Formats: sequence, C-alpha cells, structure tokens
Amino acid sequence: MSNIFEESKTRAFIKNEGVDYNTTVTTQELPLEDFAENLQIDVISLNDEDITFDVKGIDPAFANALRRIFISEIPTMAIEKVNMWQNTSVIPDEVLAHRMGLVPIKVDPRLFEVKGKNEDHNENNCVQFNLHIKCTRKNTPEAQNRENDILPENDEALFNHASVYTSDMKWVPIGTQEEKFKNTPIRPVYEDILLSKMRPGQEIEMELMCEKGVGKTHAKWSPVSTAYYRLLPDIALKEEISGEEAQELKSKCPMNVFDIEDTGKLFVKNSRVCTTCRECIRDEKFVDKIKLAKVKNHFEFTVESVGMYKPEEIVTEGIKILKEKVKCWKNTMKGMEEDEE
Amino acid sequence: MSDSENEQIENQDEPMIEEENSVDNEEIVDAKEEEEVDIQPLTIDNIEDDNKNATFTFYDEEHTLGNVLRNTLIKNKNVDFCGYTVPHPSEPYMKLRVQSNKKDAKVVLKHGFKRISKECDIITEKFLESVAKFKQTQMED
Repeated sequence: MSNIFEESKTRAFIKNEGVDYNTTVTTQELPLEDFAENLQIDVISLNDEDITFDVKGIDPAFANALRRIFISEIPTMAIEKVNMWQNTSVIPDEVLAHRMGLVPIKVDPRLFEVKGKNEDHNENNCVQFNLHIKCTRKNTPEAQNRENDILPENDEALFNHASVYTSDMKWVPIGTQEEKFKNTPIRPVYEDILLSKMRPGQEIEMELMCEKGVGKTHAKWSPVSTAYYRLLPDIALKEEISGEEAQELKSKCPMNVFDIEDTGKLFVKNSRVCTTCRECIRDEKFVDKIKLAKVKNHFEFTVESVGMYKPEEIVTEGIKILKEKVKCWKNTMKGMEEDEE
Repeated sequence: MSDSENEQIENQDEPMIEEENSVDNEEIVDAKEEEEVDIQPLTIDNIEDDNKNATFTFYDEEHTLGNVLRNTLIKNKNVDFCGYTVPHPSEPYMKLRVQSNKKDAKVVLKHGFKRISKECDIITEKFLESVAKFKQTQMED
C-alpha cells in the first residue's frame, strides 16, 4: 500500500470511471536554484503554425496561468471600426462589419499602442485598410447572355469580382508607416478568406480601422486558435502479457500504444500518444495488469497560432505578460506605501 | 383623423421626447464619470494583528494571477493562510487573503511577486534554449 501512496504523490491514476488525483501541495518553497534544476522544457514539434512542448517541474497553477494568458491577454491588432460608405451586397452592414473584425491581420502588435478612449486614430495606434470593390459583367458573349446567370456556379466565369476575398483589402499607410513597414508590408494573414459574394451592380466600399486589443475583450484579438495543456501519460505493464492476450490488448488500443516483441511479449511502444480513452482497461481482466497514469507535474502544451505571431513568440510573450503583470502590481504597492508616508 | 390633426399630435410629442432624452444622457454621463473616479487598482481591507493579516482587492484581475499568487504564497513558510476568490464573474475584482505569522502581509505579498517574476525569467530562458536546440536538430536533419 505504501508504494501506491508514494506513487500517488507524482502520478494521477486513471480508473475505469474518473481519475484518482490526490492534490499534493508542497508547503515548502523550493530554492530558485533547485527550481531551475528541476525545470525541464523540451520542444516536441514546431512549425509555422503550432508548437508542442513539454514543461516538467511547474505547478498546475502556473501552467494554467500561462494557458489563460495565451488565449486572452496577448495583444494583437484587429479591425475594430468600420466606416461603411457603400454596401449593396446581400450581407447586411452590421454582419459584414463583424465579419471584417474576425479577419486576422499580419502585423507586429508590439509596434503599436492601445488606443486611448479619447484619442483619435493615428500612426501609432491604428492600421487602416480600404476595401472598395464592385461586381461587373464581363465583356464576353456568354456574360452578356443573361440566361447564363441562373446557375450560381457560373458567377466566376461571367462576372468580375463575383467573390470578395481578403486579398482585395488594400493597406493605407498612415503617416510614417510606409517607411516603417517597408520590409514587412501589412496584410491579412490569409489572402484567400472569402468575405462576400456579389452579383453585377453590387458594390462594397469600406474603411477598416484596426486597433490593438486583447482576447479578453473580444476573441478576434486572441493570437491563438487553441492553446491547451495535458498531463503526460505514464503507461506500464504490471505483469508480463504474451500470446493471445497480448494480441488482444494490442488491437484494443486505437492509438497503438502497445506493440509485441519478436518473443511474443507485449511492451509499451509509445505512451505519449495515449488519449486516455480507457479502452484497454475496460475489460475486467486487464484492469490489474496495466498501470494507466498521468505524471502530475509534466505538462504537454500545444499552442496553435492564428498567424499574427510565430507560435514560439506566443509562449515568450505570454510569460513576459505574466511578469509585467506582477511587476505592475509590485509598483502599485510601492506607490501606495509612498503615499502613506 | 385629418392630416393637420396628425401633425399637431406629432408636434406636441416631439419636445417631450427630446427633454427625456437629454435628461437621460446627462445622467449616464454623470454615472460614468463617477465610476472612473472611484476605481482604485489595489485596496487593502481587514487589516488585523499588527498588519500581519490583510485582504487585498485587485482591480481587473482574475484566476490567472489569483491562483498563481495563492500557489506561490502558500509555500512561503511565513504564511499561515492564503486564499483567493473572484467574488462575482462579471465584476472585475479578485480578492486575496493573506495571514502571516511573522511578517507584514504586504511584505509577504511583495516577496510572492518577486518569486513569480524570477520563475518567469527561468522559464523563458529554458524555453528559448530548447527552441534553439530543436531548430538546430532540425537543421541537421
């Protein structure tokens, strides 16, 4: 029994129903050197869109604070004000304006300031786009024959600008922005987002003003599509399984965690891919043969970027924001004490 | 009802509506101004036992800071009790209760801030290291 007790300090055990998780709070502050030594971070995968990394040796509170910050407190630029001069398309003004707000904008938000309540738009707090587009009939005999209009799939062949894409948004530099962003022109992250469909004679003319904000205010400012963590699975066999049983267990797992050696013995090939589906311990006969657990201080983060930041930048920015938050409160306290004196 | 009567009724109604609107607007503006004046980023209440116990109310904070702060302070050996709450999800306040056995609660809290800040530094450093390492191994492949 004492073994299980000792193990429950570092592991959460997955049961057929629920999880056995004993909260263990270390009431001693680890010296910073030990914290640094225990902390282990490994990048598992990284590309232009997402990053997966392991963090071992932090508390759940810290992991969750980071996750919450990635989602809702990293500032980005998004369309906030729309001046609509003309909209004769089928999408109502307010729906189109909201739709524009959700378009991710490729620009480094760190170069901008948050617009104050009574401030006007200027080069330091605003990025402007114009969208002016009109759908017209092409000058071909097919297009001139109105009987062809009936089928909507003909639209692209018969009309100019039957579909409005984000590539139609034109960046309008304010002040010195043109010089400042010479090497990294400001544009929507994706050029092929369909904004609206139009028919001949319809027209859209808008001025789009981007402002800096955070996901807390509105999800359009969130730099991530998903940011989550999970505990690393720890799977082991308590006793040897071979022969038919091994074959059975191997085929039970949809993620192929188990494999069979040449000798016919079952072994754990890759425990990381386990999704905690519990399929392997559903049958009574395997319950006591498999240890299905999670490592309590080993977090596997996955951060998927929308495209405003590189995925690894989201992580560093998130930690920076937590640090700034703490620093800000420390200064507030200092200020209060000075006031008292 | 003839057209002229209709016009009369409209004319009578109009000034009434305008007055109501103007009064409403003024009230709203007043209320907003008052609210802005009242906001204090940090308040300290229930100070007891020679400043060792205190309740801090943080403006515009939530579980993000609350939980991480509680978690850090609880490990401090000078702290007897520490807990946090967000009293209502639609009000932007977070309350933190600190009860220390030796030191001023403010000192304890400041120590907690420092600790979090240092942990952030270490995590950033290690993270950048591992990203660099990962990129290097990818280049080699």
